Amino acid sequence: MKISKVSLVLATSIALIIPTSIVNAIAAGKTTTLTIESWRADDSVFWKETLIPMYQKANPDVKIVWAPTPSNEYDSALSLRIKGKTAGDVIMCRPYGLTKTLIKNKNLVPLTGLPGLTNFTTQSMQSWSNASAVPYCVPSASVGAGFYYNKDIFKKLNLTAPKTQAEFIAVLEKIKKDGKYTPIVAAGASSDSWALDQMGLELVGPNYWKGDAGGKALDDGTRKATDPEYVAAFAALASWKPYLPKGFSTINYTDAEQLFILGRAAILVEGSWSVKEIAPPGKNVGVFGPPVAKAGDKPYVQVLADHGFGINSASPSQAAAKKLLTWFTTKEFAQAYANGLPGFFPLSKEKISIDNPMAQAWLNLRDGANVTAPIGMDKMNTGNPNFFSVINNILNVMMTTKKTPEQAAADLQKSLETWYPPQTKNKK
Amino acid sequence: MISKALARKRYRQLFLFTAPALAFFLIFAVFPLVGTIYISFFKESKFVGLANFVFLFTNEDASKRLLFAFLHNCEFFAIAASIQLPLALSMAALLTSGRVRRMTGFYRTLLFIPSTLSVVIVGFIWRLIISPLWGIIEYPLLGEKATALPTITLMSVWQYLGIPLVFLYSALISIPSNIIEAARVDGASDFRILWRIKIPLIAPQIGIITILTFIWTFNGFDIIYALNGGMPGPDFSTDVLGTLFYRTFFGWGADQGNQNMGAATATVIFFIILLGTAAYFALVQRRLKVSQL
Repeated sequence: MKISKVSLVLATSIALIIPTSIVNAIAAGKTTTLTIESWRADDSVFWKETLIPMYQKANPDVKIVWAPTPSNEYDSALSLRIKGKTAGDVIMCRPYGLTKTLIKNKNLVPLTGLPGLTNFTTQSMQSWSNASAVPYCVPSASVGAGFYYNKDIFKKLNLTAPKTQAEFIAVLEKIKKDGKYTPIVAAGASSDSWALDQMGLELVGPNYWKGDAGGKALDDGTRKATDPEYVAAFAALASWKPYLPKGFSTINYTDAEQLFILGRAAILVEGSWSVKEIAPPGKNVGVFGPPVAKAGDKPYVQVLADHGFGINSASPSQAAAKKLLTWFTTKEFAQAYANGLPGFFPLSKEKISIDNPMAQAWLNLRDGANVTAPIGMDKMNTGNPNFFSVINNILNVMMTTKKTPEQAAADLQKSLETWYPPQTKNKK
Repeated sequence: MISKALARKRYRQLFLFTAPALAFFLIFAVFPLVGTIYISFFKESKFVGLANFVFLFTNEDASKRLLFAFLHNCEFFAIAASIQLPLALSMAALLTSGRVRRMTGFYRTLLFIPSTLSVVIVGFIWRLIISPLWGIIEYPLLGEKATALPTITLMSVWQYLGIPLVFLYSALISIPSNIIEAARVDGASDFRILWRIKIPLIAPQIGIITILTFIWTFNGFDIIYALNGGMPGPDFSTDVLGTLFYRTFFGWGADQGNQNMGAATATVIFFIILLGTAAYFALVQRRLKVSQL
């Protein structure tokens, strides 16, 4: 009796397993599954409801799976999956950093000769190419950081969007004097300390260190972080301190957004990627770029080639992945992307129209400005420690304690001299 | 008389009964532990001996982080042990004293409920309660270096108070009532009964709870990670060995993980806990007199 019961259970479970595996096998024979690794969980709905059906309609033999990982864990999780050969077929590329490591370790497939890559400028290919300019990812979007402002509050207090640092401080001072609103809000909690770098120092700094020239000088070690142009950049960020909300050191990214959305803060430091959340239709929100040091200066505006797509060299479906990436280079894709994810701007040379007026306002910030990439990303961000983890902590401390810009710049320089070769020679 | 065959059969049965647990223990505890120690001797699949440990203890940055993480763990343990244990003991004593006439079961359940909540929920609720923006406290407790770690420790104490409480509660109710009645007849006050009779009788349990708190705080990771992520600030002030290990092994943000260095960190943590526990058993627990009834 006992044995028969056991065999009955076994038989049932086998009966349950077999049909599904047969179905899977049949399905696998017909269609190719492509898994896309990404850190953009926020975009899942857009991918699943718009982009994937769009592609699958024209290519019924392909099944695309969108598989996002939380942004903070993406780099490590992806590295582990690549090592364990379990990573997806198509990989969303970070600018520089991890992508350069993947290229070095031959985890990405060179895309030389991929039709459609000519649609992009060489500049937008930089962050995912190797030293001899072989491209490894199809660039898909750039982003920028800036200041959202509540137009109603500005109107009520009779203010206009500031252009220079002096005007900026005057605006903040007026809002503070009025007393009803928090003048400016950003993320100050240490858990979101990346924000004070990417949407803080990297936002206001280029006007002082003169964009890419200043970034390169720090990379080469010809200038030190304690030189006046960098200290001035730190000081420009520190100038927000008296106008930030109380308990700034506990305000995280979401808190900051909420404070602005609820109309309690007049200015929010944020990225173009948040257009949908911060400025939904009907909200009276405007945007302005980083204030220049003195009137008449040509502004420097940060543009970050945020992400692209590459192919995992261990993927069994190389041909299908290549075909998908070719689609990513088309105008059809760029147009859908620009309007589905307002605030992510296509890097394609094609003429793309942008429906969202707020996203267009962000794009207009680049008019008549010097476009610049964030500093530290290319060369200083590959090691351990790296520029990001060091600067994030330094800025978090500077903004939440009494630490001065001079001390913060000195901390950065001291750290660079211990682990970044081009700067070690500046050690006294 | 038991025949030899029967004795052998008994041993076989004994083995059969322990085999599942033993297999489980070997596969999920011993094997990973040995594996971790093994890979800590390598660097990118090249054998380097103790080089990872030398780096961990001598590199300026790495050794500073390790030392601070260790000190933060000590602080975590000191606060948790000095608040949680007395609090749990006094509540258990109150619940078993007979002074709470009604609903002891209700209070016991109520005090135990937080332990059943997810640590993410506990962290989130407390973060909102003490947020200067949305909550009831103006002071940025989690944003100041001096208060961040004690605040997180207290959240954890609040959450897990129920566990030592139930532990001590069951020990206290198992004390035969005739002893307590005899003491009461002799004119001992409630406090005296607690201090002179009940606590000495449950001393071994108190010892076990202390050592469990030690292990739990030195393995502590979840609430800190849930609140502050893998680089717990402000300025690393809430970085403990658990988060240091996580960051080293898996990486965080732009920091790439290093499996070998992470394994070395895990090995150091293992030995800290091993030594602490062994020292405790050698020096304290064995000397605790178990009062015979």
